[in-house]
Formats: sequence, C-alpha cells, structure tokens
Amino acid sequence: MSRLFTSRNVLAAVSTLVLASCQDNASPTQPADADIPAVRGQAQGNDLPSAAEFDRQTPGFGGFFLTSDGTPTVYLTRGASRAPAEQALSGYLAGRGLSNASVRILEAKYGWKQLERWQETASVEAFAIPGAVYVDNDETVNRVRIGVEDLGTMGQVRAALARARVPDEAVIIERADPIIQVATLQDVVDRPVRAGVQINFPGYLCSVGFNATSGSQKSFVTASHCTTTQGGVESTPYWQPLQSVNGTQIATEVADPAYAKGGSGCAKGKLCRYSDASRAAYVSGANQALGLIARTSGANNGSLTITGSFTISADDCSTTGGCLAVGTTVDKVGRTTGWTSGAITNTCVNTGVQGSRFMLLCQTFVSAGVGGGDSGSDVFQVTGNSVKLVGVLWGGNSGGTQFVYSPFGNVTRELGPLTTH
Amino acid sequence: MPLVFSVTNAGKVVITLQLMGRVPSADFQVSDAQGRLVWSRLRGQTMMGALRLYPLEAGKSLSFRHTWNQQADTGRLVPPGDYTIRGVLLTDDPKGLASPPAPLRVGT
Repeated sequence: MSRLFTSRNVLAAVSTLVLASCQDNASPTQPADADIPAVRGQAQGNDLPSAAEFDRQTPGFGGFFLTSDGTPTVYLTRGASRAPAEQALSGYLAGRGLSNASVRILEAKYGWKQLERWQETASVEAFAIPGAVYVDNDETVNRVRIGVEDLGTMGQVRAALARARVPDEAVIIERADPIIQVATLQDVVDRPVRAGVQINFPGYLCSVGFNATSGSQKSFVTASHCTTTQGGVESTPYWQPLQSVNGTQIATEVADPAYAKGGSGCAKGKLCRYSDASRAAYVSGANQALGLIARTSGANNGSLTITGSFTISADDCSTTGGCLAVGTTVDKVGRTTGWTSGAITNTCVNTGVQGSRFMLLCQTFVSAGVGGGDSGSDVFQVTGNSVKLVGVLWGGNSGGTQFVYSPFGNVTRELGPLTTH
Repeated sequence: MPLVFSVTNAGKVVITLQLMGRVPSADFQVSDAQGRLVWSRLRGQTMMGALRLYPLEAGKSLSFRHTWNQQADTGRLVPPGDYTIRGVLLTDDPKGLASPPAPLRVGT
C-alpha cells in the first residue's frame, strides 16, 4: 500500500539523508547502514492494558482512566477485589515507580461490557435522529455519555433509548457543539470549485488559477506546466482535490499553446511563451464559482483553512506585462502556502526555468511566500471588499520567498478573451 | 569537488514524496565557518511550482550529483578554511528536506 507523505512528516519514514562530499573522488559515496537512523516503536511492556484486556483480567471491571494528576483510577463493581486490577496495571506502575497503593478504586454501578453494549445500542438509536453529535462509553463516569445539538434532540434521544431498553440512569445526555470538518485548500471537495484549491492531474498537484468562461465554455485557468505535457493540448484530466478522494473528473485541458523558438526576447535554444498558463473546460455538470477565490484567515500566516471567499470585481489590463508597478502589493492563494502577500519587485522580466529549455517572457516577480504545488494559483490585488485579478502564478525561487506570475494580459494574449467574474 | 546527496526510503513500504517541480530537484548549499551561505547551486534560479507525486520504493534512493568548483556565488574562489555543506530536496515545504550539514575543508 502506498503512503502519501508531505515534507513535514517525511523524515519519520525517509530517515536517510546522506550527503557525501569528497575531494578528488568522482565516484558517488553510497549511504552506509550505520548512517540510517532506525525508526523504532516504544516498548509495550509498561503501557496500559486495553479496556478489553483489563476487563478480561479483572472481575467487576467498570472502566479505567488517569486523573489529571496521573493517578490510575479503576471502576469496580461492589464486592470486586482490587488485586486483579493492580495486577493488570503492574507493568504500568512499575515503569513509573508507582506502588499498588497508588491505584484509586471507585465503585462502579455498571460493568464495562454492559456499557459497551448500551453504547452500541445508543449509537444506533441516537444517530437515527438529526442533531446527535457523539455517543461515548465514558470511562470517567461509568456511564454512556451522549452529546446532542439542542434540547429537542435530547428529548427524542431519551425516548428512543427508553424504547431500546437502555436504562435512563446509565446515560448522560448533554448539549454539545456540532463537530465540523475543517476544510483546507488541500483537502476540500470544493463545489462549486473556487480558485486557490488543489487540483490533481496524473502524477502531480497544482492549484486552480481562476474560473473563466471562454465563449460559452465554463473553464478554469491553471499553469501550462500543470498539464500532462507543457505546451500543446493532451486533454489532461483533472480531479479535485485528489482522484483518490473524489474520482469524478471535473475538467479536461482544452488550451495550452505550444512554446516556440525565436521571437523578440527569446534566447537561442530556448522555447518561449508569454504565459505559463493553460485552460481546462469543466465537464458537463461540474460547477464553477465564477469570480470566487478561496480565502483563508489571513495573509502570510501559514493557514490553509478556508474561511470564506474573495470576489473578483475587475481584471488587470490586457497589456503584455500588466499594469502594476514595482512596489505594488499583490496576493495569491494556493494549495501549499495558502494566502501570501508581498510587493512586486520586478516587472516584464524574461526568465529561464531551472532544469528546462523553457523561457517565459515579460513576467512579474513578487517578494512573497510560495511552495511546490502553488503553481496555477490566482494572483490578485485586494481593492476594498473585492479583488482585481492580475495573473497566474507558475514558479518561484528554491527558498520559497519569491514567486513569479504571468500577468493577466499575457494570459489572454495566448488563451484568448476570458470572462472571469 | 564532486557532491552526492541521497534520500533513502528506509521504511518497509513505498512512500510517495511530494516534490517541487516537474522533475525532482535538489539544492546544494555551502556555508562558511560563521554559518554564512557562500554558495547555493540554485541561487537566482526560477523553479516550476507544480508538485510531483514521486513514489519511492522501500530501500530505494533518490540521488543527486553535482560538482562544486569552490567558487562563491560572487564567482570568486572561496578562501581556504572550514565550511559545511548540505543537500536540500525541494518539496512542498518551502524549507525543503535538508540533510545534516557535512564538514569540508578547502586547502591552500
């Protein structure tokens, strides 16, 4: 089974990072086994037993928990002996230098297995009613605890449990806030799709640049290199956020002009364009949120959690190179570094692309955060409550402190007229 | 001075790395004894910002080779002395995945 790692946790699994530097030696140095730090689990002998194991070893067991000061506390029904409980905890106690006397015993009204059965029954009954939040065999109170959103739900759940013969005194029902799944730019199934969220095409991740209508065709714009082949149309399929999360294809690449040799500013041996931009048409039935960009809680704060939307109310000029001056603050929202903001440092720059023959003409450099996967991101200027769309991000420096975008005028020069809001 | 930077999957299952760009890329960075960066292979270069999903089989390595001509980013030869060098795999994290620094000495 394949596992997906982000760089923040990759060290746990890819534990070898070997750098070999050697003078006058052309052959590469191979990593030695001694250099590979092993990833080991913690010893199990001093761990707490599972509740099921505790129950198996301890007659009258009603539950177990640690108090806030770490005191091991066991519920036992009246008449049950504490010795089996101490034995079940012996490894844990020994590992922490604690004596058997440190175990605190509370009188249980119900056995743990009985509570487990009632929890199962209560789950079936409670979750059939809208407004149920959770059902827990709460080992700290020797009761089944049920969370509901409001008093109306509370009454319905209590009646349902009575019909299912779960004793009222064995259950605590209380009000609880609903549990909300937090959606981020990387994992949200965004429908209609907004700019800034993650898209997936075979083998790669990028970001939606902006939604656009070309003629009557509903589309989104992303980077040209966010297609199967940079330059030229191969009908690249797109999923959002991942094919493995939602297997319904949302769009197909329909426009990605070829890169060409020659022309003004194009260096010898290079393949040039004025924009690293492509267009994908939404498949029939897929939604687009024309004019909307996913918004996080703030610029340059690292958050990827979506808290709302920006609304595009204008586009930058159609002039090649754009109409924003050095020093102007622009923003972007992308799947990797979220919402970042900074000043334009260079305009109309002809730039090569590391490791390729491609060259992009008349691009804009911005001093703001960027990371792999942000390609395709919308670049915009905040103007009051709405934003002006100014381009499509496609690259940056290796340090992640400067991004490069193709101005909107360059994009429409090569993809044709686009309606963005 | 030949350099080799390797990233090895020391686990038992295939993992999928998220690597910046269309092809896996790594930087090499040399710092002087005071910790000042004197040379970076990728300084001033523009990288594509796509994220490649790169499966790495258990026990397999991803290796990068480069040669340092002992010049600083200024183009001048660095003075003799002690330096450190590290490799940085470009990933979805702007900081990348860096090796521990390795010491090296440039002689007279």
